[in-house]
Amino acid sequence: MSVPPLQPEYGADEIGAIVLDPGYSVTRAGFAGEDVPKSVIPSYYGHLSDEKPFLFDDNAINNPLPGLDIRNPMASDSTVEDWDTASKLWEYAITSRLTGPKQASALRNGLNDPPQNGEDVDMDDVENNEAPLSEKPLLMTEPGWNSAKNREKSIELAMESWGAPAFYLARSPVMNSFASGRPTALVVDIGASTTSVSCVHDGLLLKKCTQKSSLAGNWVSDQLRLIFNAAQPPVPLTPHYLVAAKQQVDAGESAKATLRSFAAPPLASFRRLQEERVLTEFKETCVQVWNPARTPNNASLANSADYLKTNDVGKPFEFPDGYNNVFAADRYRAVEGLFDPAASADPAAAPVQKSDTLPALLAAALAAADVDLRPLLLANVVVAGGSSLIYGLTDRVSYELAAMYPSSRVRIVAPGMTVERKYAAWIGGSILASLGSFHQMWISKKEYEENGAALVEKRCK
Amino acid sequence: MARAHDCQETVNLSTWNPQSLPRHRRAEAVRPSPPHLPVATFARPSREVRDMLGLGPADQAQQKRPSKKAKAATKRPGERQPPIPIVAAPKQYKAKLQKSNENVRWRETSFVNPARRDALQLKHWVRTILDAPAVQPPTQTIPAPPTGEGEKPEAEQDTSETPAITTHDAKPTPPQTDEYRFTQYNLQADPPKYTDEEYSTHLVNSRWSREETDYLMELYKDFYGKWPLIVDRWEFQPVTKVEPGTSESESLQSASRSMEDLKSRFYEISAKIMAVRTPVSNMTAAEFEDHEKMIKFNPEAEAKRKRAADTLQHRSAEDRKEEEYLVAELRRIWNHQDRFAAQLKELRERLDHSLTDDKGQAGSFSTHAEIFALYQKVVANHDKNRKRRPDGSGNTASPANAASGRGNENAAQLKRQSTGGQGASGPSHRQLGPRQEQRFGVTTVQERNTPGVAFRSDKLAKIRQAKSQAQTKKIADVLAELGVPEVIQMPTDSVTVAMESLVAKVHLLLEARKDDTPDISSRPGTRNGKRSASELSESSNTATKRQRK
Ligand SMILES: Nc1ncnc2c1ncn2[C@@H]1O[C@H](COP(=O)(O)OP(=O)(O)O)[C@@H](O)[C@H]1O
Repeated sequence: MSVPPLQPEYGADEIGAIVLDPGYSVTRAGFAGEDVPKSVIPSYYGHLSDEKPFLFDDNAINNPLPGLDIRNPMASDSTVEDWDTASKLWEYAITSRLTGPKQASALRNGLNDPPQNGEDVDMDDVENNEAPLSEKPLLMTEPGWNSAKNREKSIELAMESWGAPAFYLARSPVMNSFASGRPTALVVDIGASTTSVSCVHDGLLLKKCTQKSSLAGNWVSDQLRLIFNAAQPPVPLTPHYLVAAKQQVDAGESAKATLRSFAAPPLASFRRLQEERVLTEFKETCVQVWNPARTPNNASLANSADYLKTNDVGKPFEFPDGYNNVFAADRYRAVEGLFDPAASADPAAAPVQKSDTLPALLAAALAAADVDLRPLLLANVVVAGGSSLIYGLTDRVSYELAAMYPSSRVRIVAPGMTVERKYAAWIGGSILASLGSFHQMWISKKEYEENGAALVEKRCK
Repeated sequence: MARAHDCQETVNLSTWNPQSLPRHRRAEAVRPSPPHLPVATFARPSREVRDMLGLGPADQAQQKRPSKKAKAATKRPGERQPPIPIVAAPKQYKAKLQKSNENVRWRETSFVNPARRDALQLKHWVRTILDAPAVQPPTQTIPAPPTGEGEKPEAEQDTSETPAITTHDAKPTPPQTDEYRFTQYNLQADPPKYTDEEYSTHLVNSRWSREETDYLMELYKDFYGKWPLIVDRWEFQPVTKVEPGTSESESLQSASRSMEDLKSRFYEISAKIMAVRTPVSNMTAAEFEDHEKMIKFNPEAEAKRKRAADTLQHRSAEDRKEEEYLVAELRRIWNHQDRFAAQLKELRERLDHSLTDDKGQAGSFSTHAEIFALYQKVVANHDKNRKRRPDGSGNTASPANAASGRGNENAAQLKRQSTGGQGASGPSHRQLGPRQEQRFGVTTVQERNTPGVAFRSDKLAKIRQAKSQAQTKKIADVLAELGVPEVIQMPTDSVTVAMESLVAKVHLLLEARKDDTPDISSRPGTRNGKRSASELSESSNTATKRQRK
């Protein structure tokens, strides 16, 4: 490195901070300044018995151990419900792939010494392990509707349990907009358990605009379950772990697979999680959002059956047990309820509130924003979250907004790359925590000790 | 003058080469300066000057001595040596890879951000140059920053075997003693501050309590003066205890305020505090402008504008198409008018020009220029009296108005032009009082059916015309009989009026004659005819009399 650094043109100043973005389905952690989080683990964890209450990470939760229960420390609105477990889960996310247990000097860690007394434990190392963040500032994201109590819990956790020297709590809509480089944006975040629409103005969240509903990724999965059950004949949803062997069958034929049987099967929650994996695959490959602009007269999905018959060949999908079929209209129906309550999979059994649909959320958020701000927000619509990757979703959002505000220019900013969309909030945090001008915003340990947890309300606006 | 100018040139010469000048200037630059100028002192500050400026001795390396070749090139026989060494810029080759021999390393260093009130130490990686090459392999040593207060980073305490490097003088670049470079981005909003006394004398407002006002100022500072955010986070709870009996809506009412509400209070306070600190008369132009703006803030108008904008944003696609069409149409019309205006302006300039030329022999209204100028003024006055829309709306004036007809359009254009031109040519037009107006025969035309300039004499000629040739001839005959000349020398206003009434009577007479034509022709001088004739001669008399006047 003999080339001198250029004058700072953009204000990065890395301080080795850790960014943590807990989601309902996935928890992301990594070093600030990096492109993607190094540590991405499921937020679900396995509970086997009281001796083994916490099994973290992909390998553990996908292993069909007898009596395995799958749980989630997050509440369905993406805030934290079970703080004890959440803190363990996050700690695991950070230490397993980022900091690791503290590496002591090779001269003194005892590994090279001849074993004298086997019980010799380096107390320094133990202490360091107990405070996983003793040298790293921590930036954490939170949903826009996080309660004050939860916010204080976060800082207590970081400061007292983890020994972080500095802490900051960032609102995830703001982080989403930063990830796309917009200080002002209308952020549409469609995750696993919540869909939210928020307005960000000059890097700060407009609280009164924030709208959320539960029509998100998991809801789409449920819609698919309803559709599969209602099909004639019903589509079997057999997850991978149950299938011992399968045979090729023709499209629509019932599956010919040998299933595994378990003497002591895992609990139902395990099967549900495994089904979810199949459904996610289905969502990734088949599900599509209907775009009325495709038809000449902007017909809704319900009125486009004929159009679909002639113009849409459908998409084939093979389930783990070998059942396969081509899905045409159904693949649109799975998400249409997000826009049109009447078009949801089973309006009678699982009704969708009109106020929960995405157009309603968008309308409400924009109506709450200042009139002068609206054109700016519409010109910077940031779409993020894993479920926003459903094919055609951004086009539909754009269509709906254009219908709502015909005289404004609507521009959707949605990262094209899958990881950028899924990890948008983390990436925004990564950018923020490595900005030189941000370092004055950290809540330091000293400040925390002087002012207490309530400082988070004042500083992390 | 010349001296100062030359000095400047010469001072610049020391760092500058003539190749960079355009060719014709190059010769000048090389030309020796006149002998009386002590150029050299300026070219290279003497030691005294340097001492005075505290510059220290001149750096020998910096002031390049000309090479022998360059000297020979510039020295010409019989000419003075140029006082300034002129060296052609050496040919530039692509820069070579700069390999420094310095031992450069990236080190993790703690730093303190001065924008923080606590002394939080964060660590970042900086490029450091070690004075002497390190003998030992790199270790994890983290040298304490020169500014750091005592507290050494933990890593250093952990590792005990690294004295060799830490004793080297680690020089981080940029130097740690400098301000943290991101402090410059630490910008704060500063709301006006007031004392208790100032508040009670100037700022009391029945709709705002002191607490709420303070809260507003606090939020303004917290949210950097960004109004959408201030409104969004507005959660003022009046401190006054809410009685258990009172309804909750009462206490909530004061908790929600519109942006206009907040803005108007804030601007009110800012303006008043500003005026208290610097009286309006002492303000600079910029300050005054700000003050004006704040005083003129009108929350009702602002709210109204927002409501209008809201409906505007919600209008349907059809509305928008229609509007676009209308706007395009309007633009077309305006374009046309612009062209017309340009032509008119040119014409006017010519007329104005001749007006100023003829000033010496002014006094009669015989030239077109005079009359036209007068016309302009009349129209201008007339326009001013009418209520006019403010300029902003002028651009978006309803297209129907502008498009209603060519004639109108031109007339409107004329008016526009004349008002527009007033700013420039205004002072040359004198305002006339009513008496003077009478004297100069200036009248205000109420209605006009033909656009552009019209002359009174035209009008007089016109009233002589009838529908048929025969009738015109008859009128001419009657007028000739009455002794009214064909060309009226001085068609003043009163003359025109008299003439008009006369001709109207002639018409009546002819009408009456037509009814009993045979009678008149057979019995000329009937009562009827006579009376009319005498009446006519009377009025013709008045007409001619007035004319003579
Ligand atoms: N390519 C994809 N297409 C459709 N849905 C997807 C895709 N990738 C992930 N998902 C869904 O996105 C959700 C996870 O999104 P994410 O933003 O990570 O949620 P959270 O932040 O709440 O954990 C899951 O429900 C998953 O099924």
